[in-house]
Amino acid sequence: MSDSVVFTRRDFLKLAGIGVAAATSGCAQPAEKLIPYLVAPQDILPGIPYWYASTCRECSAGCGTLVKTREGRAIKIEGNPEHPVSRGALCARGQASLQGFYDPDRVVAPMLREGGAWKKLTWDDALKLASEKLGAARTSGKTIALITDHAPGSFEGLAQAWTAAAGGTHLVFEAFHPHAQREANRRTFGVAALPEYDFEQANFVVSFGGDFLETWGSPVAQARGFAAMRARPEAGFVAVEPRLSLTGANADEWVAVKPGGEMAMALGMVHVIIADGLASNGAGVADIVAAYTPEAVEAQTDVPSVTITRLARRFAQASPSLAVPGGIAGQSEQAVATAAAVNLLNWVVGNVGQTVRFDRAMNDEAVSPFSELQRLAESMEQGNVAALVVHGANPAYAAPGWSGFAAAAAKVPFKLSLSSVMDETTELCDLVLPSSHALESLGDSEAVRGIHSIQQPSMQRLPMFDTRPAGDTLIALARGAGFGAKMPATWEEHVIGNWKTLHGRAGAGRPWDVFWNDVRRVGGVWDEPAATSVSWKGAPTFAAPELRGGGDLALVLMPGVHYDGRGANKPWLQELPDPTSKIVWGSWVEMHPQTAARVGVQDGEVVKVETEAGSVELPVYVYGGIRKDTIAIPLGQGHTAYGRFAKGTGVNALALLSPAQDAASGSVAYLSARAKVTKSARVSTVAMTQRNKQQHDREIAQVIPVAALLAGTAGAGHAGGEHAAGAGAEGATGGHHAAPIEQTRLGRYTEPQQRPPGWTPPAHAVTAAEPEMHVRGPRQNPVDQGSYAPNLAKHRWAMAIDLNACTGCAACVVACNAENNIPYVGPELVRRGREMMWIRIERYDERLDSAKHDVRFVPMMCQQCGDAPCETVCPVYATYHNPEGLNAQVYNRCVGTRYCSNNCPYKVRSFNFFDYSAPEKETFAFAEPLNWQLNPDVTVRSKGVMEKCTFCIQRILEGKGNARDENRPLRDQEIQTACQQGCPSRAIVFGDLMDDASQVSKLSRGSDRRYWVLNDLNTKPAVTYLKRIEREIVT
Amino acid sequence: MTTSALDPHAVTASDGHDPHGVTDPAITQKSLNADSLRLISKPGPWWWGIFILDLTILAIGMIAERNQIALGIGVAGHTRPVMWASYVTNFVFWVGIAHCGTLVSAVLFLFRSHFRRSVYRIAEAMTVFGVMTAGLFPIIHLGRPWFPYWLFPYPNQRQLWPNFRSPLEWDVFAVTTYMTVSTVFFLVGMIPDAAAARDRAKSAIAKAWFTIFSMGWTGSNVQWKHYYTAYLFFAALATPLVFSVHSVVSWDFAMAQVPGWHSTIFAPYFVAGAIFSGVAMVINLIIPIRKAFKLEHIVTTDHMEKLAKLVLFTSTIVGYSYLTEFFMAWYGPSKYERDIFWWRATGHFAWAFWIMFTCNVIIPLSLWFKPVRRNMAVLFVLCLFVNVGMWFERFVIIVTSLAHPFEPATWDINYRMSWTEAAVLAGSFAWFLMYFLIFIRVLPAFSIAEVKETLIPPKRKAAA
Amino acid sequence: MRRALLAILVLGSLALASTAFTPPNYAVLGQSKGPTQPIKFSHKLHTNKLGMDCLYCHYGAIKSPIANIPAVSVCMGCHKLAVTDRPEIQKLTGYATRGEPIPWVEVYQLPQHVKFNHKRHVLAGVQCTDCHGPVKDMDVMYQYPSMKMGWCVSCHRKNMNDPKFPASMDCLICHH
Repeated sequence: MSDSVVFTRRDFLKLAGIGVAAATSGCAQPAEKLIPYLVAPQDILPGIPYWYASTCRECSAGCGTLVKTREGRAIKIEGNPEHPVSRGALCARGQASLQGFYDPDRVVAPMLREGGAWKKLTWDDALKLASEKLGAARTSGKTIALITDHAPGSFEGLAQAWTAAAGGTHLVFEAFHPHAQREANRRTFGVAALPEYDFEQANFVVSFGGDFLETWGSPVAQARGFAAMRARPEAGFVAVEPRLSLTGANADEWVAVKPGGEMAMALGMVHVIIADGLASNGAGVADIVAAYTPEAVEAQTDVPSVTITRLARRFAQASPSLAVPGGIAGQSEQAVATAAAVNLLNWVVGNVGQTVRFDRAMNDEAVSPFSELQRLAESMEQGNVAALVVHGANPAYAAPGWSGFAAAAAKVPFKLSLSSVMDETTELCDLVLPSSHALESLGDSEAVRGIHSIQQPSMQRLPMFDTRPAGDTLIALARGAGFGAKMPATWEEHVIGNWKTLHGRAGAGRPWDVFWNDVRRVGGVWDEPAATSVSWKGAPTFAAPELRGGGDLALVLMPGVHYDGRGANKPWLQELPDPTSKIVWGSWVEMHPQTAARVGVQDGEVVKVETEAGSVELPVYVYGGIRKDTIAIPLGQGHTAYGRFAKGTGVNALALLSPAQDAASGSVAYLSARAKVTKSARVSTVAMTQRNKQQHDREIAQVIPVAALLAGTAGAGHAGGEHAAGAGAEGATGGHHAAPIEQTRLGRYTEPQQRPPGWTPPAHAVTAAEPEMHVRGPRQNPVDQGSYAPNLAKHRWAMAIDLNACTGCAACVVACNAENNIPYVGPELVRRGREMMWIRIERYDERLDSAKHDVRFVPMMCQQCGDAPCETVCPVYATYHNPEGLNAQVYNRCVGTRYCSNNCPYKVRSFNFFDYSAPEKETFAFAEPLNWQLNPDVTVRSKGVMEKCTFCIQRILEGKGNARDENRPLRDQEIQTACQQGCPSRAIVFGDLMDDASQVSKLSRGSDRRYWVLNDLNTKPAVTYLKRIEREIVT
Repeated sequence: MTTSALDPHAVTASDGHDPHGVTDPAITQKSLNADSLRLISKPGPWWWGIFILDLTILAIGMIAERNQIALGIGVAGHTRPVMWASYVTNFVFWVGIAHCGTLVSAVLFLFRSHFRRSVYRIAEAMTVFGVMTAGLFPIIHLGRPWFPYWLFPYPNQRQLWPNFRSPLEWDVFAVTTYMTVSTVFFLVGMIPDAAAARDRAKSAIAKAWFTIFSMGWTGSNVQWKHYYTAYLFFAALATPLVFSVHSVVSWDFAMAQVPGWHSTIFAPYFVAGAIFSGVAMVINLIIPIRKAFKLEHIVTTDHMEKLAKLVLFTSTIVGYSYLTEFFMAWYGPSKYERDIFWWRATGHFAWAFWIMFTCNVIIPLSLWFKPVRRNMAVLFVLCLFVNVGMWFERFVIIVTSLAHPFEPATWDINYRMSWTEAAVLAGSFAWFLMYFLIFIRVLPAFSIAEVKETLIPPKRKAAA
Repeated sequence: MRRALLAILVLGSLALASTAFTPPNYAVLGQSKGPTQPIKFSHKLHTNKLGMDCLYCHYGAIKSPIANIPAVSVCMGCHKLAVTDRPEIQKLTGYATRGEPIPWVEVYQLPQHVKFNHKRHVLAGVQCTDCHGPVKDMDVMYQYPSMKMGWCVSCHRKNMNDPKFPASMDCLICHH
C-alpha cells in the first residue's frame, strides 16, 4: 500500500479529469512567524477572552461597559450588568465606539501644520513647541481657552485646575446638552439639574417631543424602563410631536402637534386638570394656565380640544404618570418655557418625586451653555484669545455656522488640538497632540450623581498609535509652559488620587487595594441616592415660539444615530439603517406624501431645501408620519473632515439655521426656521435597505389587542394564538388589515387578497389565520417539530423575541456586526441590495395618520427552521441541520450557487458578492487597524460564499465548554447571543428548548402572544415572536 | 423475424420511393453526394468574415468572465433577493435549444416522419453544441467557480458527498447524461456519410479525419443491418431523455417553494417550451445554409413548412401553460401565488412579461396561414422572435418570481442586468456559433445516406 | 487485449476507492523535515533526556483553545543558570537581554476557517503525541500529521461513540 498513499484527493481528481480547479485551490501558505509574549503576563493566555469594566464615552449618559479583549486587543464592547445605568445593555452608538478606536484615519502621532500640509513631529519636539507657545500666550496678557467635551470626573477636575493655573477659561462643549430643561428645572423647582425619569413606575407617559429611546437623556436606561412599563397592558404612551420619531412610533397615539405647539399643549392639559379638579397640587397654578383653554390651544396647535381633554384626564387619573420634555428636534426659542410647561404638568398631578426624581440627577454643572461658546467666539474675534486648546469637542462642526466659531478661531495665533481624529476643529488647529482613546487610557466618570464609574485601559496602546492620555499631555504642557507647579505628577496619579479620596468616603472599611480591585472588577462604586424633594417655585412667562423665514414649511432638525456628528466616522453606524427611513450612508428630507405631491417629487428624488441662512440638496423620503406643513432632516452628517467614512457623506443641516436661540438658557433653537422646497435637477443617490414598508397581509409583524389578551381569547392555546393574528383579531377589533390602503405610505400597491368581510379561506387553503385542525402537517408547536435530532442531542437552541419590548433601536444589529465580523459594503452596494447584516429591523407602516398610527418593528434574523427550505437545495451540504436544531452554514464548503437564499422565505442570508476580506481588493472592509477588531472565534468569510446567523455558535460552544469544564449542566441564560446581550429593552431571549424550565421554553410554548412568521409555510422556525400589545385609544 | 420490423424502410413505397422525402426527380445519387459534400471545402471570405467576427465577440465574453472571476460575482447585477438572473436564464435557454436535435432525430425517427431526413444532422449538431454551451453556465454563475467538482460524487476521506436532495445535483446528472447520449447519437448517425466523404477525400489529412468518423465503415450488408438496429436502439434510448432532461431542469424551480416557481405544470411546460425554441433555432440555422449553399432542392420548402407546423404546435402548448398558471394563481388558495402573478404582469418587470407573451403566443399565431409558413424570409424573422421570447420566458420565470418573494421587506430591490452579463450572454452565442461554423465545414451537415433512401433507385436500362 | 484493459480499469478504480477511504500514513504525508528555527531548540533533549512535561512550557494547551508558545521569560526561568555557556543559550539570553521576543517559525498551520480547540482535546484525554507525533525523537520539530480534514475526521469517526467524550461529527464544531 505504500505506493497507494500518493493518491491524494487531488490525484484522484486529476485521474477523473476534473481536477483542474483543485490544483489551484490547495496551494500552501508561506511559513508564518509566531511571536510569543516576551514576559509571560500573569494569568493572561492567548485564546482566552478577558473582560475589563469601563465606561462609555459616546454621550453624556455614562453607561457602564465591559470590554472584551483577546490576545490583548479589544474586540467587543458590551454593557456592564453590574452598572446601574446600563444594566448590561448598550446602545448602537456605544457598541460602535470600538470603530472610533480602530478608526483607520486616526491621528497616530503629533502633527504640525506647515502651510497647507501636516508634518509629523516627535512628542518631545511637539511638547516643547506647544509649551513655548502656551508660555508666550500666558504672558501675552491675553487669555488661553480650553475646550473639552463633557467628561465628568477626574478629567474635568484636571482641566479646571489647568485653566485656573494657566489663567484661562475652560469651556465644556456638548452640542445636544439639554440646557433648557436644566434651566427650566432651576426656575420651576429651584434645582439646576436634570432628573431621572422613572418610566417603569409610570402608568401613562406623554412625551412632548422627547426622543427618549434614541438620543435624549439616558437612552439605554430609559429603553429598559420603558419596556418594563409596556409589559403592563394598561400602561399607555402618547407622543406629542410634529414628526413621528422612532420613540413616537412606539406610542399608542401620535398627536401631530404644530411645530412649537408642545408648550401650549402641555399647558392646555394642565388647564383641563385644574378645571376638572383632578390636580393633586394645583395651588396657585390656575391663573398661569387660565388662557390655555382647550379651544384656545386647539387654535394654536391643531390638536382637537377633545384630544387635549381626554389626554389630560387620563394623565391625571393614571397616577403616577409621566410627562417627558422635548429633545433637540423640539428645541425652540421657547425651549425653557416648553420644558417649564411640562414640569408644571408633572407637578400638578404629583409626578415629581415619583416618576421625576432628582435624587439621581445628571452630573452636568460643568457643561457650558451655548452662549459661552458665543462669548468665546466673540473674544476670539476681537483677538483677546492668545491660545486655543481643544480636546474631544468639535464645535467647528457641531455648533451652527452662525456662531462664527470657525471664522473667529482663525484669529487665534496658536491653536492646539488634543483630539485623535482629524475632525473639523482639529483641521483648524496648528498643532495636534493626539490623545489616547478611552479604551487605552485610565479615567473615570460620574455622569450621574453618586455613580462613580471607572474607565479602565482595556488594552495596550497599539504599536501604530503614538498617542498619550490627554491628562498627561495637559500636565506636560503646564510644566513646559511654567504653570505646572500645582499640577499632579501624572494623570494616573491624579485619577488614583481622586479614587483614594473616594475610598475614604465610600470604601466601606475595605483596605485600599481590595477596594481598588473591586472597583475595577465591578466597574465603580455607586452611592445610595440622596433623597431630594423639590417644590414649585413658579413659572416663567409662557409664549409660543416663532418660526423665521419666508418658506411655507416648518423645518425640524432631528438627531439620529450619529448624534451630534461624532458617530459619522464609524461604518457600523453609517451602514445602520435609519429606523424611520431605512436609509444608510447619507442624509434625506422627510416629507408628507401630499407635500411631496405639491412639490412634485417622488420618493428618492432630490430637492433643494432653502432657508434664510442657506440651502442644501438632498433626497426626499416620502413619509406619512410627518405633518403636511413640516419637513424633517437628520443631523450629524455632512462632515467636511473627520475621516474617510464621514467626509462628504450626506449634508450638514445646521447650515440651514439662522441665528436663533432660547434667550433663557442660551441654547441653540434648532426648531426656528421655515424652509422652501423646490425640485432639484440632481439625480438621486439614496441607498435604502427596505423600500417596501407594507405587509400585504403577510402577517410578518403581528399585534394582539389588549381586549383579546385580557379576555384570554388568545389564551386558548396555539391555535388561538394564530386566530388572534389573523381572522380572529380582525373580528375582535375591526382589524389593522382593514386599514384603507390610501392611508399607507406607498399608495401604489393594491392588495389583491384584501379580504371582503366574512371571507373565509377555501377548505384546501393553508393560512396562518386558520384553526389548527385545518392545517396540513404538524403545527401544534413548530418549535418542537422539524428535522433536528431530539434523541441524539442534549439541546435544541431557540429564541423568543418580544415585539412588545422591541423598540426598533437596532442596537442588536451593531452587536451582531461586532460579534460576527460582518463587513460594511458602502452605499453603492447597499443600493444594489448587497448589505451583509445578519439581523435587520423590518419596519412596517401599517397606518401613519395621526388619529391612529400603527408602526411595527420586527428584528428578522435566520429563523433556524426545523424544516429549512435552504437545506434541501444546497448541492454540497454547505448548509445543513445540526443535531441541536441549528441551521448550520459551513462557509468553506459553500460554492456559491445562492440557491439557499432563493429558497429562504425570510431572506436572511447574505452573500459575499465581492471580496470584503482581502486587503488587496478595494472592497476590503477591514482596513488597518479596523482588522484588529475582528473576532478570532469567527471565520472571516471570503468572496463568493453565503453567510448567515447561526445563533452565535461560537458563544454556544464556549458556553458548553465552560459547563463541561465545571462538570455541570448548562444554566439557562448562561449562553447569550450577541443580539440578546446588546438589547437595551431585553426583547430577545435565547435558550434551550429541551430545558423545560428555560425562559425560552416558557415563552415559545406558553405565551399567549406567541406566533411564528410565515408559519403557513410550515418551515417550523426556532424563533418565536411575541405579538406586540395593541392598545386601543381610550376615548 | 427479419430486420424488416426494425427497418425504417418498411413503410416506404414498393418502388423504394418515399413520398415524405426528396421528390425532385432531377436529384441523382451522384448529384446528391456532390451537393451535400460541397459544404466541406475551402471556406470563402464570407465564412471567414463571420468566423472572425464570431471569435471577437467570444473574446469579449471571455474577458468579462475573467473579470468576474477575479472581482467576484458582484460584477453581475444580482441583488438580495434576486440571487439568480441572466446566467441561469442562459443555462435553461441553451438546454432548451439543445432539445430539438434529439427530438427531430430520435422521436420523429420513431414516428416515421421522414421529412426529418434532410434536417436532422444540423439539428443534432445544434443539440451537441447547445449542451456544450449550456454546460458552461452552472459554473459561470457560481460564487466560487473554481470548485465545480464539489458537485460530483467522488469518494473522499472527509466523508463529504453532494446532497442528492438538491435539484441542482439532479441537473449534474441529467445534463451530463444528455450530453453523452446526444453526442453518441450524433456520431453514429454520421458514420455512413463520413465514409462517403472519406472515399471522396483528396488530401491525406481529410482522409485521416473522415476515417476516424467513419469508424471503418465499408457499407457491407451486415454493417447496414447492424447500423440500423443500433440507430433504432439509440433513438429509443434518446427519446425519454428529451423529456427527462428538461423536466429535471424545470425542477430546479418547481422544487423550490418560491412563489411563481413552485408549480406542478413546470415539467411539461418546460419541455414544450424547449422544443418550441429548439425547432425555431433549427429553422434559423437551416434557412441561411440552404440559401447560401443552394440546397433548396434537398431541404425543400415542404420540409421547412413541416418544421413551422411543429413551431406552431408547441407555441400553442406554451401559451396554454401561461394561461393555466394565471388561472391557478387566481383560483388557488395561496395569496403569495396570486400576488406574484399579478405583479409579474403589472409590476416592475411587466415589460419582460409582455415581450415574452407577444413573441411566444401572439406572433406564432400567424403560422396558421400557409403563405407565412412557406415564406422563408418571414419564417426566419418569426423564429428569431420566438427565440427572443423564449429567452425572456426563462428570465420572467426566474427574475420576477425572486424579486417578489414571501418577505415584503425585501421587495423593490430590483435586479438590473450588468454589462458583464450582457457580454457573457453574447459570448455564449458566439461560442455556440463557433462550433457550428466549424462543423458545417468539416463534417457532412446533411445526411446523404438517409436522403438517398428517398430517391428512386437507379435502374439499369433494359438492353435493346 | 480488451479484457486486459477492462481488468486494469476495474482494479484501478478499486485501488482508488480503497486508498481514498484509508487514513494516510502520516510519516509519509507530513513534511518530515521541519523549518530552521532562530534557535536550535531540541524537543528531543527537553522531553526525552530531561523528561519535561509538554504542559510545563505549553501550559496553554490545557487551559485555552490555543497551546501557547512559551514566553522568553519561561525559557529564562531555567536558563538563567542552566548551561548558560552554550552558544544557542547565549542566543536565548541575547533575546532576553535585548528584550525582544523570539520569532519562531510556525510548524503547524491551520487555515482561519478551521477553529481547533486544544483544551477540549487535551481534557478529553487525547495525548499530545497522538497528533504531534513522537516529539521525544524530534530534534527539529516538524509537521507530523497531514493536517488535512480527512485526518481530523478519521479520528473523530473512531471516537464518535466514546462513552465519556464522544467526538462530534458536526461540521459546525470546527467550521464557524
